[in-house]
Amino acid sequence: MSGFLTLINANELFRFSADSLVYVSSDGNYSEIVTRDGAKRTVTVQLGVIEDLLNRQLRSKDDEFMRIGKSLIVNLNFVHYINPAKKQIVLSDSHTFSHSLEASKEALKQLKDFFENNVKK
Amino acid sequence: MIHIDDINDDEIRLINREDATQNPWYRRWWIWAIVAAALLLVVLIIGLLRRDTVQTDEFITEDIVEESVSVAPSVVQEDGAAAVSVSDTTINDVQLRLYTPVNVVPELRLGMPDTTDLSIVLALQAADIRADNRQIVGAFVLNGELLSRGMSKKGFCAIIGGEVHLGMAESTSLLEEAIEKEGSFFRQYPLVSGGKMVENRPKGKAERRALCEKDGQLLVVRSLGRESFHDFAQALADLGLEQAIYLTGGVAYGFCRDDQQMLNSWGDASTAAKFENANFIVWKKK
Repeated sequence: MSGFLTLINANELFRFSADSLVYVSSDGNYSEIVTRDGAKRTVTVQLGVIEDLLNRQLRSKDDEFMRIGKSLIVNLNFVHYINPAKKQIVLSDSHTFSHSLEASKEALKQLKDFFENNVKK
Repeated sequence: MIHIDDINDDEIRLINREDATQNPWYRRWWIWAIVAAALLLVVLIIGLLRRDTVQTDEFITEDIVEESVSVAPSVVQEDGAAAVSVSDTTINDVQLRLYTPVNVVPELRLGMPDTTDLSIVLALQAADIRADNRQIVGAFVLNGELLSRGMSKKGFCAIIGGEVHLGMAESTSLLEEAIEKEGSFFRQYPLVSGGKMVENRPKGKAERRALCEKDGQLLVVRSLGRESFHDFAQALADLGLEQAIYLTGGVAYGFCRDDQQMLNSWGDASTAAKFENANFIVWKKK
């Protein structure tokens, strides 16, 4: 069963099912959380804090996320396309959404290696 | 809340998996290794400080050129009566009581001496006992049997064939000789060697006792007040003693029987009785 990412502040509580999270991007002290339904939610939480919350709150091995550089966290289950030379990564469920994002060449190369190694296993 | 942001744009980090490419700080083994090493260091420092504290409290203390002298077991009086000559003196503001046994022989023994045994005229605790494991500190031989090993203190006393040898040495053939000839041997801090004061590590003040030699005679010196090791040893040297080693001080038990057969004791007998390895040098009538 998928876990939840829960964000709480003085006035609000956000609860995201891990399998609905597509990616989280950083905007300075804010983070933008993008979900499968195409919704984008901006929260006043730094990306590093969200990474820590994911580490703490998610228990299922099915919920795998990857921090890519300083400004991106992606749900590995939705990684559809990686092209390090073009610095491009596409997240998609091959059905309802597709998001093309940019990341560093070196980081994407490592991500590509990561998937290659997993395939070999 | 822990904020993890130690990543640059060319790195990736897996989240929520044990074999993450980079673990968060609290999962990194080397941080825990440093914490464990720091804790170990703190424990060691506390242990060392405590060891010094025990030494100053010292019922039972711890922890030190071969040079030794042989002395006759006691002064022989013409009337042959066993006794202890007691006199007081003050050296450098250090009040001392001197006990010179007469017509008696010294021996080392394990366990509390019988205070009702009228043949015993003087008794003092000899070798220190470790507070942690209650073992005798340093080499200890009783009637030829080696009961404890080690050289944590350089001073020694050997009683072989009725002859007492006081000295200071890291190793001495008198230890083997004591074993071979069924004698006795124990280690203590050296206080005076060749008429010169010897510095020792323990700090703090306590009532001090020493087994000493002067002009070929054996005597015991006890401080009447709490003294530092340095002041006590200096007073013994200034008293003109040629050789002196420490005897367990502080609350260590001891007694002297006067010529009226009255027992004058010091220290705490009940504390000494709790330690099965409490050992005494006693002077008995021949």
